[in-house]
Amino acid sequence: MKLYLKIWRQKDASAKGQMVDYTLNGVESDMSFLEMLDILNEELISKGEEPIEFDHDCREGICGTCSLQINGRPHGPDTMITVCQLHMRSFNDGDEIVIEPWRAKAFPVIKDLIVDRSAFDRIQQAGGYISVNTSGRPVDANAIPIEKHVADAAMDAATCIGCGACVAACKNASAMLFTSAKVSQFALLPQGQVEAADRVQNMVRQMDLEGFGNCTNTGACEVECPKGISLENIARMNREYLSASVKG
Amino acid sequence: MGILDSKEPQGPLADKWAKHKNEIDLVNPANKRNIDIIVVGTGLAGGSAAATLAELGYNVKTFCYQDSPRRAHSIAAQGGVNAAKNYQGDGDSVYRLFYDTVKGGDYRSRESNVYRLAEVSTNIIDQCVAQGVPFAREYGGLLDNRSFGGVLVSRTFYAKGQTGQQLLLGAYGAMNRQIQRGKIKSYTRHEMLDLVLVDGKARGIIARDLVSGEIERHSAHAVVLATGGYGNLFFLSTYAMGANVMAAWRAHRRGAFFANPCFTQIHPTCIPVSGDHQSKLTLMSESLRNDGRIWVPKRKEDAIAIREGKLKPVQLSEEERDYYLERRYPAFGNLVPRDVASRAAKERCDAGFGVNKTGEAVFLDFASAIMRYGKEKALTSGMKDPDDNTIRQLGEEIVEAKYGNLFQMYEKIVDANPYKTPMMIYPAVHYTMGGLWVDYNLQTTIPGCYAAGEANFSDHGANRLGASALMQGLADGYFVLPYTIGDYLSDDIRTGAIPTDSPEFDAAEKDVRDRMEKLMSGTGIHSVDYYHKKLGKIMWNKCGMSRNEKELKEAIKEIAELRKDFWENVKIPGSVDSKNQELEKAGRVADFLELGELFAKDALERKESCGGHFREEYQTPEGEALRDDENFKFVSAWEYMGEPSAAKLHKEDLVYENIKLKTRSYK
Amino acid sequence: MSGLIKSSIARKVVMALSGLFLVVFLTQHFVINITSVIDPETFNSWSHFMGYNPLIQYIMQPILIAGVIVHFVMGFVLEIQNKSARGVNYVKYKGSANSPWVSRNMIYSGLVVLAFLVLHFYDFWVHEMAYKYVEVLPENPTRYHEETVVKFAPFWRTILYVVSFGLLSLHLWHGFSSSFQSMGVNNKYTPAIKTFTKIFSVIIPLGFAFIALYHHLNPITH
Repeated sequence: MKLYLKIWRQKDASAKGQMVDYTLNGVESDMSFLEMLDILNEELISKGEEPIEFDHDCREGICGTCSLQINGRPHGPDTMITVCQLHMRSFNDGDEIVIEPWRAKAFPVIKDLIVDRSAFDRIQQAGGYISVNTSGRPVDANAIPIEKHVADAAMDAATCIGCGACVAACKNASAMLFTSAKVSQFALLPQGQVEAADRVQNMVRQMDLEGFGNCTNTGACEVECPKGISLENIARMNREYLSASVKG
Repeated sequence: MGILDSKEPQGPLADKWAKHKNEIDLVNPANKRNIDIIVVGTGLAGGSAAATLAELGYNVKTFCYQDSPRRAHSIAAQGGVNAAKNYQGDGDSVYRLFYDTVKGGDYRSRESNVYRLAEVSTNIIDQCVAQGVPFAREYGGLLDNRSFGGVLVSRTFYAKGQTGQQLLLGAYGAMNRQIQRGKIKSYTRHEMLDLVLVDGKARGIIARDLVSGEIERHSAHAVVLATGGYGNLFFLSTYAMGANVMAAWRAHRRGAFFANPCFTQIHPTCIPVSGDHQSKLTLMSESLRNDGRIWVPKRKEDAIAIREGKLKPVQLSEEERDYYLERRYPAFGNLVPRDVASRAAKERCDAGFGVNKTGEAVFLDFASAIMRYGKEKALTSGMKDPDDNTIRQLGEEIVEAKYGNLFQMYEKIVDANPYKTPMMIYPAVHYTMGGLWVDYNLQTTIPGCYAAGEANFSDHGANRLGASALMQGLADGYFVLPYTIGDYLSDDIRTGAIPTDSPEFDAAEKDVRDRMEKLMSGTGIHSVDYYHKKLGKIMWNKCGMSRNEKELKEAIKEIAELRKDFWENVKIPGSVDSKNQELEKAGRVADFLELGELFAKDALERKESCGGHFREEYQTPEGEALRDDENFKFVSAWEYMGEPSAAKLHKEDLVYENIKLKTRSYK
Repeated sequence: MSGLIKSSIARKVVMALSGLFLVVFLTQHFVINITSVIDPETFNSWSHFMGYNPLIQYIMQPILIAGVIVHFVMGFVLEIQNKSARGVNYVKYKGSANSPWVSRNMIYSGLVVLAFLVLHFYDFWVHEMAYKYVEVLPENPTRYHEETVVKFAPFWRTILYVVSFGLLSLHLWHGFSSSFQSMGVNNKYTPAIKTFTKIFSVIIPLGFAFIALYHHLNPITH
């Protein structure tokens, strides 16, 4: 198939970017979206132009590196997948495809379609862990039984890949779904409850400092999350935060 | 002992590790504050090592090429992590895990290392649960287990189909805690380009900031390489696109021996290649072999009809199918180890029974599991005489609960519904057992340079069992390296900070800059990927699932020619002093082009078949691998001497005091 | 406490609490107003009570006004922060694919409601204040019904009211159930809360619109 691509090009963080048009022939339906970009890049290189830089790594939907806004939606038109799992059979011959980087003040563009998501790392550093040292003699793993549905709920929250689609989708560029997923995972597990109050306060403080917007419960994040992280996690974080604030 | 001293402790196997820990030197907490350690790679091994070293009090710097430590490719491991907990009461023990691992590795691993691995495996589970890793649980609230290939017990802990992700996020959390405390400084989007030796000791690295293109010098008292495997040598593999051998290869060029490069794991259950444009292969977890049955048609005509789309697999009756693993290996059936399953698939496809367009795929069928589970569910929910459709529906629900995310992934990629029609799978490069040679302390042949996880050669011999990679990464990082490294660093408590303005750093930086300039000066028309794909084809066709002398010799020649062409002609746009993904790739492929040749040379020299290394000349009449313990019961450790062809072989003889060497049989 | 207001979650909780408070007020307002259609005498007596009860006049009324101000001011603060959090706008942004229109446009439905409130205050509250405290006219417990009906004589005012109630409905459609989520309530009752929200956000504005139209169509003829 033949595609008309409009792609954001930006030399570096300080440069002013713009959309550039490309026409690409010979795209096959069983290619992945990123393989389609690979082909475009091969063409550009052969013409002596600089290829389009985009983030990608595992190409199997788990590392969370790939991050493209495709036709106005994070990770493109399909749901429950990342860009690397998107295949060209979701498009038709002659389609125009607009490809942009994630847009958020807290995710500055590094080059072309690559953004800096280190804000997410800093939110995690503020408390996204349980403070235990490595020890040769910890408590036996089965010493504290955990109800299956609680463990499953914690797993559902923990499945977040930190891709940033929630921020990209949200009209407010809010990072609540991301932050709440980690807060939820630990708030649910007995091991995490010990420092739950400090954790939620510190992580929310960092999230606010990074310049993400406020949650207005539009639900866009939940729809676009490639791992189906639920809005319930945001409610849980709100709850945790309020109870932590009341406790002081 | 010669040049390769494994430093294995003496004494009974079960006491070695405890004894060793008691005897090695330690660094006191106040002195640890004066010691810097560089950890390259932040996957399971690097992340857990960095966190633990920082907890102990060392100053740690971590480096990863990804934009966050959390994205290291350990994250993609699906199935699980082994541990000899014996929670199922099925007779598991540290010894049995040790035995299975040595046998699974076809008796090409070091006994003492593997025993230690089995011993600390139980600590891993305890540690991870304490960190909040949400392992799967039973209704009683206790941890659940599943079974993996090559073993007869259930010892695999898992978190849905995302065990690697959860374990990595655990280690990443532990790292984050230390970053917050200021004990770890994390350098992301950085790539190690060279190792710096001062007075023969590893004292730092040259790294490139991949965003600004700047070349940086970082010094430390010891350098830990936890940079994963080199499967991307094959271009198409289940590795992440960025996975590379650069750090290990740079260390090799500086004096670290490279062990068993030809020991590669080809995983039997991956989604088959669909076309030339393909950039990456996707694994379907081995856990699927718990319930999926592998088959091809019995008659060649049927296989041809299926390939041409004239026949549907579900139309073939049981009698018309060849469940070849169950036929050949009745004791282990579909759960034979990976090397055996992969080779059997290749054998059937080579014989003309392949089932996709290219003839390179076999079926993985869940129909009988769906019916079995459905019947069980119908019985337990008190249904009388349910019809087949009801049973199938109930069964599909159970299979979905177990493997839903994998089935969804398959459907997204292939556009076929695996609940209704069998999956098509084919082997793909998945893991490399070979790597930097290390002693019992995980130190390479360069003093102060350590290797952990997949980057070293240590524990898996010639073939790795499922769910053992995660175990090894975390064992190395959490429980082994942080202690053994103290033995070396105890001599460094008075050294003080290592300066980066020494002649050694100057020289290393100059090497790096010259190399990049040379890469940029290519005058041809082909991109990096062009060369990488060519290399991959040579590797897959001539150094893949089965190897022979003639093709290995051809491979050596072709790779050397390709390397020459690459260095003269590769075309890299952009500049060295800015973000440049093509330049990043070029540096990695340049190293693959050297390693590839050494790989073929190693495969050529090893005139036996063992584990993932199958030499066509050495097989039994039934086509099983024929090992030669008399002549090849050793680790090949290659010393760099300029060109790969000049590499010098050193042998570490493997001594088995606790296990009797047997022909590996899964029949 | 000041720390609480500085966090994004706390700001959302303030929005939720003030919003819910206004929902309660709205319900009470509706209950009184609907009597103007059913029984003018009840309407007069309830209105008189509301107008002259000191508790309502000096405690509840300032709280209500404060609630309105807090809700609007915080709404603007959030909107400004949220707009700036995007930085550079997308060339193509397909919000309709993942979120309802009403949830993305609360600021616009809110602004219309605010404009309406200005008119509404001018129509009734300003008049009432002038009657009681500027002109200091004597108490008249039977004047309210007629005053109300007269207000709806002009067609333009009736239409403005009806349109505003439409946007109020949209605002409530998202805002009511959303305020529970902001306060951390998302559980097995959430589907019920959402259903109730939909019923409430249609019935109440529709009822207000009905009252306005009823009085417009049934003018008082002496």
